[in-house]
Amino acid sequence: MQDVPQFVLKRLREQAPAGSHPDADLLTAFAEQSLPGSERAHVMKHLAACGDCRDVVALALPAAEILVSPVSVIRAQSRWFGLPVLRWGALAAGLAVVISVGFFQYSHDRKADMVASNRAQEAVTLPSPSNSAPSTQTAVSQTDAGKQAGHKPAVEVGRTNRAAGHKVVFAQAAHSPNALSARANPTAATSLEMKTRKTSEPLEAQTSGAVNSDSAAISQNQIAQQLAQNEAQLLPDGGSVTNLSSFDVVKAKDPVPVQASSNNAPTSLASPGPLQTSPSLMLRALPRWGVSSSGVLQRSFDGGNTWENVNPVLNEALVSSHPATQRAMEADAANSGQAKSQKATVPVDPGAVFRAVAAFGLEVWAGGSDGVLYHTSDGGNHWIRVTPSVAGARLTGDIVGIQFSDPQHGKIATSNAELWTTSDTGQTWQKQR
Amino acid sequence: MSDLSQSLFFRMGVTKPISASLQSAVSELLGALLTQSGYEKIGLSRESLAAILCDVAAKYLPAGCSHTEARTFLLSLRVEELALARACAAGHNAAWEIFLTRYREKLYQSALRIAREDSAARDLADTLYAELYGTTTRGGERISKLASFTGRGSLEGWLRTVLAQEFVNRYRRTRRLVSLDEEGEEGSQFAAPETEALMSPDSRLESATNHALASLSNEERTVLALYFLDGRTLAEIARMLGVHESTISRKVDKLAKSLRKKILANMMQQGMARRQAEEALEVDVRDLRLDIRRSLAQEPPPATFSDQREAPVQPRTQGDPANPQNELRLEKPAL
Repeated sequence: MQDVPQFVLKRLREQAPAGSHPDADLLTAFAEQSLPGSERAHVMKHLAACGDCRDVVALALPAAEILVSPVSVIRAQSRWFGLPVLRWGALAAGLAVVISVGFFQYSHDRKADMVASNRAQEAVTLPSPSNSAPSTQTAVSQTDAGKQAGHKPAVEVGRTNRAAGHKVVFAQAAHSPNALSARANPTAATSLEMKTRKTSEPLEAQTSGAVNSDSAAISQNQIAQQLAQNEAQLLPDGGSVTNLSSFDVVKAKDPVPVQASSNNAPTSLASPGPLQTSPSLMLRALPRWGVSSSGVLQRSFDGGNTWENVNPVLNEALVSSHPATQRAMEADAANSGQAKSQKATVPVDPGAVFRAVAAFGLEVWAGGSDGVLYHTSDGGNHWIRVTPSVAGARLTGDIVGIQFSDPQHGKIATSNAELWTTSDTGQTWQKQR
Repeated sequence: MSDLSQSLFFRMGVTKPISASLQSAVSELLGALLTQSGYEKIGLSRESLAAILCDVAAKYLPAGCSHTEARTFLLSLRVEELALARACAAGHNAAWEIFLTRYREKLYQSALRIAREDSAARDLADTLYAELYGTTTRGGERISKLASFTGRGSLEGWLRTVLAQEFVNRYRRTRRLVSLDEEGEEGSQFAAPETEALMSPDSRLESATNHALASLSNEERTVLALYFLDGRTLAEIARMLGVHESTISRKVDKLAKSLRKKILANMMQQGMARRQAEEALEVDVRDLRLDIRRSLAQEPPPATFSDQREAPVQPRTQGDPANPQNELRLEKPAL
């Protein structure tokens, strides 16, 4: 940019402001470009000479427009394998490898089981194949053989999960902008699984020790939470079969075939012990929700001691309205760990300003300025933007209050004195003035 | 209708005389504006709204405006927000409730963006709240700042502007209180008068510069000042003036070039050779910089913020009477 001689700037600065300062109304109208020509010229003349009023107008500028969800959706779709995706994906994959290698080294030291650890490392370092279907089948057969779980339910569980596995892959391919890193994460999930088995310590003690320290531990937590959810969705019959199935869920999603073979390693396969803690773990993993004074949505996994920012705009799931794909997204346990690591490294962008949040179990609703409303049914890992509308009229005011008496029935109050109600988890809305 | 408003205007006792054209415009549009304002919900009467409209129009419109002028003016007002603000000022609870749900959060957020620091932002916003509620009593009457809102721009923007004005006022006040040293730091503001006395720039350069600046339009001078004096970004300037960023970028570049060219041409017209004129422009700048450096060398280096706070303590412990600069500094904060 061309420079201006300092002498000229001095002269420019020394101009005497013409007349008295324009009032706040005129300055506002000026900045909003709503002054008629003659008045605008008058204000402009004053601004040319008055540094204070220039400062006022500049300071009073509204916050820069926030890129609303449609834009980010388009961007995410068009940049599937764009540089940022590759970069974060590579980072997440690297992280997963380092963590699991580190873990296997550790367990190797403890158990001095050379063979097992070598195999496990092979499993980790081997490139993951793109076709996950055969591997899931291996996993299923492994389950059947290894556990001698001859019960019909278990086989069926395996099948359901294989289907779920397909869905997951489909969902990732179709929707996740981070296809690469998503693939890396099942490895992390498996390493968690291995950990719980090998050390055979109570899972609860492990997690509680690690919750505050590192993000890996929290992702454990989230995976456990996802597992619990998958149980609820895929296997409503409960019982001991449920406990088994949560293992299968992880396995069915595991796209690394060698990993499955490493299950043959000396480590005992059937150790249902640690799993029995999973219900209490699930309860514990239910986050508490809040909104900070500056309008940032936050959640806490430790009863409110530490809070992390959650940005639904960033984590918005690319979901069509079809409920089946939606469920597939929710079954996508692998993604949760990845979303976590991304959150830890990406500086959270200001995004929407939230005013109100309501949580019912894993169902969370968050609303804020300009009718921004997000819904998640997995405790905040995937968000869906919801725009309540009835007969062409949309919710446009600021959302100031949200109340849900159960997952289906809820009310939303807005700043323009409207009350919106739903009785079907936000599929349809009614407006009362 | 017209009878009603006639009696209205009579009853209101507006300070300024109202022109007939404004009267007719108000009575013509009153019905539409009333429905637009939702006046009943916030506790305003027809009469009070009409009075407010006349008040606002009388403030901005010239006395002899035409009917159509008055009409377009009234239609450009944000009547709903105007009514809300004035109802708040008049102390209607329903209006306050609406105002608070709509603007309380926004006000704190804007304050935070302006002050960039939490405690200062709270302070700024709280001060404005006090003024909005109208704690200043004059003749036993509570006067709310909202009574001065006229609906020319949005209420939200107005609140931001008022916050910014308060902030700028405060900033200037504290800056003066702290010390003059900072102004020296800010730029040539402090050094400039001194150098002027020292070297007295070529009168031809001075007149050429004045001439060149005067030839610019107000908008061009505003853009120059915003960019070069205030250090605003191109994006900020673009948003302030409602044009695209690239337009501003081109404009700044062009302005800087043409300004230089104009000054040179003017000096040559006054009988200077091209090289001489160029030198005058350049030499002048270089001398200015040299002079700043020289004046800085004479003084102790300008204290930074943290130094400044410690400054009053330092001379006391050291007790250095040989350096009068230190003595001077000791006194400044006491002022």
